[in-house]
Amino acid sequence: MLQRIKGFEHTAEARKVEAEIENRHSGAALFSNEMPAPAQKQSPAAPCI
Amino acid sequence: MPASTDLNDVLQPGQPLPADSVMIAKALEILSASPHGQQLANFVEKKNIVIKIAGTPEPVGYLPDKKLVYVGFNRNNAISPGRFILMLAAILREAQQEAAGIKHPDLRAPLEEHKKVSMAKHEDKIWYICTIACELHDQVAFSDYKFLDELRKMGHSEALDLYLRQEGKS
Repeated sequence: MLQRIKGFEHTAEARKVEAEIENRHSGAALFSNEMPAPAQKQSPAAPCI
Repeated sequence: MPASTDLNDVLQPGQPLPADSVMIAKALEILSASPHGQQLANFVEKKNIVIKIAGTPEPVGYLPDKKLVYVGFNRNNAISPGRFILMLAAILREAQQEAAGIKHPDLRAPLEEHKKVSMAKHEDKIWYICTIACELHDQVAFSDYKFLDELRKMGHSEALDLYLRQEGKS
């Protein structure tokens, strides 16, 4: 279904799009690495009296 | 605002913008004058696609949901009517891709997969707006919109030249 433009991959526009994809991908990878681990379930603290 | 308003008359620098609904209706009407644009207008109607205009610093098309598209531009420095129409066509084509199941890969998918799919989707979108621009450019009624010049101003000059060569129009 997707249409092609012969030689499009060699255009400056294609290189720009490729760079954007790489940036997005590395950003997403960074984000997933920085995601905090799920919080451990903790017992309720003893009430201070 | 008269129903027959020409976007070229109302989307002028320094003039107040018409209502969003007027701009969208008129753009869809103009798209419908081209066979490929007509497909997009039919898609909007058949799939109940909601089109919205947003104020953004730079011109941008955005597809937050498969049935919701945004065309964004700076309302204090409105884009040309021709560009607005082509931007709408581009984001509608993206919505059409999504509806056909051609989606961007999952965020965690390998880079090569992202490149392959996202680049193919982009290329298809550019092919589509080149086709619509040529179909409208060939009609005297739309000569003032300068659709081919607009494509070049949007950064698609090289792609347009390749397209024209491929389609035997250059």
